[in-house]
Amino acid sequence: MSHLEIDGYSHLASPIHRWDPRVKIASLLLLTFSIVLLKSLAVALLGLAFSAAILLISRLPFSYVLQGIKWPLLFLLPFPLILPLTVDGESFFILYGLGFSIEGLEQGLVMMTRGVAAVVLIYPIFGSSPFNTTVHAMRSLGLPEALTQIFLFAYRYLFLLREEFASASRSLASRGFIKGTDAASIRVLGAALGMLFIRSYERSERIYRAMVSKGYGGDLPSADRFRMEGRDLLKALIVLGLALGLQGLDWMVIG
Amino acid sequence: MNPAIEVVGLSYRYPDGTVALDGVDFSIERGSSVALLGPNGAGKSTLLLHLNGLLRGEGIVRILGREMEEATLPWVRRQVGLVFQDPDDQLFMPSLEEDVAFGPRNLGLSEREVEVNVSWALKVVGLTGMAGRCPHHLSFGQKKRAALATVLSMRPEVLILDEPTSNLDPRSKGEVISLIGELKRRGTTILTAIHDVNIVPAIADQVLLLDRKVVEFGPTREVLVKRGLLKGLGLDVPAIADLFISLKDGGQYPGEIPFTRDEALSALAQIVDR
Repeated sequence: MSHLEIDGYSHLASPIHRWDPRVKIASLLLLTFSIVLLKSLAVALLGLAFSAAILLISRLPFSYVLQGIKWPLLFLLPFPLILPLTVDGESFFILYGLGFSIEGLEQGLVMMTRGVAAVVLIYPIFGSSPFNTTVHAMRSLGLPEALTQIFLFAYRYLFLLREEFASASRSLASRGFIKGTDAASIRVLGAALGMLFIRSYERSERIYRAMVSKGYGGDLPSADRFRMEGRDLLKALIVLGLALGLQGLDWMVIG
Repeated sequence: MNPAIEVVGLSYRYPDGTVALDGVDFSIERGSSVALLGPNGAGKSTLLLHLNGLLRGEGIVRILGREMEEATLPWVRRQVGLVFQDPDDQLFMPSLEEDVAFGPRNLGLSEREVEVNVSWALKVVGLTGMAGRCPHHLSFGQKKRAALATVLSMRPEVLILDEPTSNLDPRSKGEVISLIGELKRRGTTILTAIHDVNIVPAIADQVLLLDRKVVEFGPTREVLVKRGLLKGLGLDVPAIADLFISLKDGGQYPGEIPFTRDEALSALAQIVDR
């Protein structure tokens, strides 16, 4: 499953999948904000445990999520390695005269934990409903019409663009082109990308014509597809409780 | 005379100065099926875009008796369904159901009517049960039929098809041909731009030859035997007809030029009997 297809497991059945997307997005985003604002490492770890539990409930495959979070992890890992060197405090380790502070390590771990917890939560939010349903839910939560359409069309045509680039790459390879880092390679790849952009531009004009020919006047028509039930609100209340609980605990620990 | 499409003195020049249409005149009767033939660059696609009001040139275009102008454009787009050559241009929504419902919802139909039209259109093109699929995941043949469904769901009186069989395998081509036949039987007026002359006799009663202006317009069986005219435009004569035109020219066959396999078999039997 490619990570371009973030909704590849939206067909699964779980309490998260059955949740009204509007309430789900609002509640889980609130929990995400609550986690990223935590200051205590212990509470941040609890937040990470909540994220993992929600992921577990969503039944999204861990392997799929792990594959996706490896890139954000690459950005988050340096924090506990660099901050001990830059934050003042009691050194727990000295290497060639460089002191590694406990405070720095703790801050780095807090940042990494919060980041991982937030990235993990992205999957239940965006991976448990078809992408178009998620975008329509975001529109009903106030996402501007222009952004809604940009998201929908970007997602629809991302795959086509990927195929066209793959086709261009195959065409280059069939004529003996080997990707390299020299100027000639970069020039060829630049030309291929440029051609891809021109074709995309021309395609966008044809798509626009197809839309206008079917009565498009600027707004995307949409069925009123969402229905909120009592259990949706109950789930929201539980998540809200977790978000507030984490903030309360953090306040008690940090003061 | 009860024309579905009337075009009078239509001319169009692209911004770079290229003349695409130069005084095009023709009229298509309601319920008829017409094939639009012409070489590359003859202005076929440009003409089709005019019939839905997507391009506006000089001259008059009337749809079902009403002249096309700014005020009548929404009405025109309701009456004229335009199916583009590349289905990926037409399937822009994240699910097939939303794509097929796009037009009816723009027309302001109720959700119940939208549902009825969507399931009808998907049934006509044989894609019932695929409503939830992402159009990107359909095969090319399915995409072609899905693109047709997105227009059929608006229940247009006039259907404009741009190369509906291009890049299709023989089976998918056959499915599209029988679909066009079915729509024709339902009384839809159909104008099909096409390069494959071999399938024209199966889908069209009349042929419109275009090369920036109308070169010939008449019954399919009369136009498609004008070998000199067609070759002069860089077009082919249908393979079966081509063979029998040669036999007729050589005096071996005196009868009507056949266009289908069955007609050809009868004609061959006549030749053998002689």
